[in-house]
Amino acid sequence: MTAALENTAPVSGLPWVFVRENAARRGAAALDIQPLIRIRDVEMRYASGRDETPVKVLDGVNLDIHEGEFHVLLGPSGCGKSTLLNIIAGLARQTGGTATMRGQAIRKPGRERGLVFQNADAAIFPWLTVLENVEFGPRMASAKKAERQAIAQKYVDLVGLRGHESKFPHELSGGMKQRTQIARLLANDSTVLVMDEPFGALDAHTRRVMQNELVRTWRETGKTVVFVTHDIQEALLLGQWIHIMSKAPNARIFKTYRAELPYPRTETDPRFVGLLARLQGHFDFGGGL
Amino acid sequence: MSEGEAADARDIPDASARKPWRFAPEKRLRKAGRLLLETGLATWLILLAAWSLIAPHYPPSFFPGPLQTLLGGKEILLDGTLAKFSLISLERVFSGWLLGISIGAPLGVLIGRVRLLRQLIEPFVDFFRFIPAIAFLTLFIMWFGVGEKSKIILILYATCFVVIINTASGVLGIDPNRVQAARTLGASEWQILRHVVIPECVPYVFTGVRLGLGSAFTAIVAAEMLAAKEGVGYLVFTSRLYFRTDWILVGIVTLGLLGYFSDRLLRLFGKTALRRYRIADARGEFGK
Repeated sequence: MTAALENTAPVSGLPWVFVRENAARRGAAALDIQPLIRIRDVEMRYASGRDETPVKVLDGVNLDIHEGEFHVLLGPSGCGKSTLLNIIAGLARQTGGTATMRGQAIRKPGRERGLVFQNADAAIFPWLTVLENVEFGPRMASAKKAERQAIAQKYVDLVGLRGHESKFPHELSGGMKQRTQIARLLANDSTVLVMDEPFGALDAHTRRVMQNELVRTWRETGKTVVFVTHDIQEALLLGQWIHIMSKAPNARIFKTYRAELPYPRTETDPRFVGLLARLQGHFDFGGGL
Repeated sequence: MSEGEAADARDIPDASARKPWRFAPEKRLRKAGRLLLETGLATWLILLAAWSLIAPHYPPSFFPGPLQTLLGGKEILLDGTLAKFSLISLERVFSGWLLGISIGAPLGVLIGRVRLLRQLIEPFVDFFRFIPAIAFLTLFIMWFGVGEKSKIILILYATCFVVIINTASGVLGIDPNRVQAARTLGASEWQILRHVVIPECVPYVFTGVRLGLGSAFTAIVAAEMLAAKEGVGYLVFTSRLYFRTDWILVGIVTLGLLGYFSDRLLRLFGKTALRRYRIADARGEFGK
């Protein structure tokens, strides 16, 4: 069944282009334009359960991410999206294949790949104020106090947290906590924002606001974003590239869409609706996913 | 007519302002009772009443009443003995306690952070923490003399373990996401220790420090009873020889007050200087 889908040719006239595993990018590779992040044949094995049965969570994942792009990894819960994200962030090491950034193997976490956690309470430091949290990265890089405060203030303003600088995390709403996380990475001058279902715990309204804010921030700063979600609508509202992952074990990216919809996107846009139906189709199958 | 109505309307707030003058004993009693319970004064009043009722049935050398105790207390307060002894005991407690913290807290962090150290030190800690400090008193006097040194080391011992155990459990309980967040922000292992692990375990260290203060008071009284010429413990122990049971009670009350106010100060410090670490205060607050 999957094989049949793989052979689907791009249908002209529709607002999306179907490519398989960034095949369109092969041209770029030929021109020697190196992607910012390149994932090649990555696999991940775990020993699971009491009898430590080896489980292959990821099996042959390929992904090219170029600078300034917005990539969404879309898949059902437990499909290994987060594992792939941790490999990109450098928090987990793949058991096979290669993961590189600017040609260098990703071995450990680094400030160039900032991670936005789903659970903001675990990620932001509760004993620091909003501004101090945002200052954290530059502070670790031994930036002078006045300098890092200026940087932090700039990004606090950018994410719309002005007036909340001296609040402690427990005084913030869920959305504000995620804004803090994002500002913290921007102030740290991360090239890539790696986001693990950051809006999953927010209420519907706040989530929508945050999605729009993220798109605005991304467009203003020109950062590269890798965003994990299981929400198809969210994927479509945000991503330029949407990678659909199959279910674990042996999860891989089995389809990649390029969503060429203008920003800001609206769900009522007929092109949006068409693409949504298309994506939804993969999840309704049950077979491939 | 309309003027009269207006005057009536104006009278209404006046009437309510006069309200406190009205005789309503049950309401005011209930209010006073609630206040007594909330401030904890009720407990003390009941205790004091029981004391005044029971004491007259016994001779003062066996069980003095509140008034006799107060007079006895006035006696040693005026000649300066009580203040002097309190200061001496406090000095011993605080120096030993501070030493215990400065050894216990870093050791706790190391035990929580370095697996090898944990494996090496934990059995040792788990063995010695069940041996009360007083058990070491004779040994310490033998080793370190009858002077201040043996007492301070005794308090150090009494404080140390509870601080170590609390700190280590705080470090072990750190959410790995927090450490990973710091790591992706570019923090080195040393910076993680300094800027994440230590702030994270401040509330745990604080709990250890508070519990440690309790053990320190226990230890110092025991030490002063057996080997001292000054101090509140000495007062409690020696007054028996002069049949001054009232002084024994004064000493006991003094110990309670010293401990209580030291803990109050400590909690105040936790609430103000360590406010950002959000130290949980399980007990209710006065004047809330």
